[in-house]
Amino acid sequence: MKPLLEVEDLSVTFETEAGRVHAIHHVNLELTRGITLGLVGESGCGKSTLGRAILRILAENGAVTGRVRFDGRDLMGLKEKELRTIRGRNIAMIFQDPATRLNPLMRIRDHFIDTLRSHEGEIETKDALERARGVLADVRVPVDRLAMYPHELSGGMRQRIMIALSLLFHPTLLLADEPTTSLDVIIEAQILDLLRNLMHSYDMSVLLITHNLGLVAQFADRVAVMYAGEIVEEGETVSLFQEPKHPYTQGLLRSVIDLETTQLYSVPGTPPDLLGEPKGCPFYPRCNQRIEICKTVDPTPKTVGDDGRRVACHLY
Amino acid sequence: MTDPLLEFEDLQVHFPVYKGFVQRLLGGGDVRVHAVDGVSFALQEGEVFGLVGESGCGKSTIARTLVGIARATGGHFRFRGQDVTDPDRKTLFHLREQIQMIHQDPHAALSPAMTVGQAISDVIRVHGVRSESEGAAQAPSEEQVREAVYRVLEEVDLRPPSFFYTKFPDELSGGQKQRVVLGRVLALRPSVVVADEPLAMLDMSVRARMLEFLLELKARFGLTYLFITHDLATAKFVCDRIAIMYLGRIVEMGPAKEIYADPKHPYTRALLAAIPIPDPTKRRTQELPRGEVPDAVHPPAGCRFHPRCPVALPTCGWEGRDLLDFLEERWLDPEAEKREAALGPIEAWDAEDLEAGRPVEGSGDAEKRLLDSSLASAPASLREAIDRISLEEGELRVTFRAPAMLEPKKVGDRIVECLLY
Repeated sequence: MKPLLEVEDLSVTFETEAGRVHAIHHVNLELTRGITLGLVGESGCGKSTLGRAILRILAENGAVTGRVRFDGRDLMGLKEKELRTIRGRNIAMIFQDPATRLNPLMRIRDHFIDTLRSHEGEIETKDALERARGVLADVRVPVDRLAMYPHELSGGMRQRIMIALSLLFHPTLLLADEPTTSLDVIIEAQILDLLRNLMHSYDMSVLLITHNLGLVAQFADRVAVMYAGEIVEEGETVSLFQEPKHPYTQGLLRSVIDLETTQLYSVPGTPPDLLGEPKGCPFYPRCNQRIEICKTVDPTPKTVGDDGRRVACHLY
Repeated sequence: MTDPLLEFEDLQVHFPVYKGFVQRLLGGGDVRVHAVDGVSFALQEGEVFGLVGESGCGKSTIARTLVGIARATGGHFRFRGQDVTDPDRKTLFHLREQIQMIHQDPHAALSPAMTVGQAISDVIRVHGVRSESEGAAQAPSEEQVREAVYRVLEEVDLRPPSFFYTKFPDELSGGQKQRVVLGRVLALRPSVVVADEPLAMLDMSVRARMLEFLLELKARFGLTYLFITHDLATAKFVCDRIAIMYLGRIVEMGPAKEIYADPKHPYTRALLAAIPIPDPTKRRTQELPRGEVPDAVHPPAGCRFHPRCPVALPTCGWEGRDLLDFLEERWLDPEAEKREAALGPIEAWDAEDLEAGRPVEGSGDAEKRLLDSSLASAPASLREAIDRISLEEGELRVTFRAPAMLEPKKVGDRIVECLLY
């Protein structure tokens, strides 16, 4: 079966006063139907930009090259109007801070009515509310919340509302960019359980963008690790966590502080700034296993082992 | 045991909720946020004490009370044996030299318009130059100030100091900014450092380095830490003792090792179970607590965790609004809602203290039967806490039994506030 989402040789640059920023550099990625792909990396690695580039909702100074195919259609060739029907309908997106995505002056019910009308034209208020009730039941939010304003709801409630809004058109792909980062651990776990159930009942695939390795381990079927605008490693979750191959993945996993940590570890140095044309492996200055070639040649990802792992490193 | 360095006794911090003019005319009683509601703990010199809990539990309010940004509305706060609950300006000035705070967001803690040198020298000018042995020297010269700033920058590994002295915050990385903040704190040679989520804004690959550095400073300067975090994993690594907070109360407190090995309070257990473990072979299987943390303006009766607790007893504090929450939750299922339409909608009900009720027409027998049958699927402890369901004067009324007295109990060498013990 063809993958639901294929990203091919995608690059994103931003023109800034200081020069050209290479935010994403020749990225390839596939998302199979029915799974959750975790896209993990630290701040500034380009994971959110990648999500936005897929939906083509980048800032004005951003330029994209490469191909994004969704369900067999090339998104890059589509006009803005056609894209708009895919965005929100076939691909939905939820973000880190639901408070800033809801209009503080609008009741929750009006968010539903607006969203429905913007995609389906004139709809009777009664019918719109009926559909709102349907998705609210799926995210387990009492219907009386429809009459409330966003500030009257807790963070967890607001995120449930955002999810409900994204479900209105039965999307096949959900881009979740740090969906639980502003929430407490118990609520975070509740939201993840909810997403897991919805994936089944709505037959939806998820691209989970996060910095939290714990979330990825708990939730994702496959993981892609990003560093300085490149995907350095991608593979099946259990195997990648048990045997990380890229030196950055190894360092990142070792630096996690969890309940079993007895020895602290941190990756030396700091991520490179992405100004100017990249040269060599972006992890070279911080790598503890670097060799001569890493300094000048950026490694291309290759398949390593027999479980479909892709690693961009000269060691393999 | 020696006398504690710092001690809270039954600390209470309530914040007024400002209402509009009309609301004030109409009254509506005393509306206050119960941010901290009767908390007692003590810090021993040289220990790392962790305050752990979710947002809104009151942990940051305690930190703010310590440095005098928030004022206690009840209870006592003692430092080196002296009662400083309500300090005058002079006492507060000296207290702040002794107790310093690191805020969560180093970007916000530093003025973007001040260089690193200015930020640290400001503090030194106000409080004087400090050295390890003697107290503050009065009115330091500019040269002394610069010397002191250089020394501080070296102490926090910002070398060479002359390089960092003229830098503005936006020229530094997150980790370096956090070091500047630490430097400003250390310049006063405090004995207690309150660290409010000091790692939250840092990336995973550099978090460990900052944590190591905090521990190194503690050893070098003999500091005592009050470490405030929502991250149980970090707390486990750094803290000697921890207190788990929920809605303004400490629910469990004791040696960190023991709490993690054998959590007693159901809330502690829930928190530990909810942590996303970075190991895909250990996926969570435990049930999560229902719902979210309730409003601190009207905290639940009895044990504040009882509405969400998986092992609650009938005596834990069940009250009228718990019945409403149960019905609302139940009617999320459209079929149940339809079947029990005669009982709804939820707005027809009202609840006060131990009672909940709604008006009924006619005899009300049908409604009572419906309520009985829906209660069959309620948590057993809620059901058993109901004293009686009555029908009188056109009202269906549910009355709960009064909760049992709840107070912190000693269990081994820890304190647990739970009726199970």
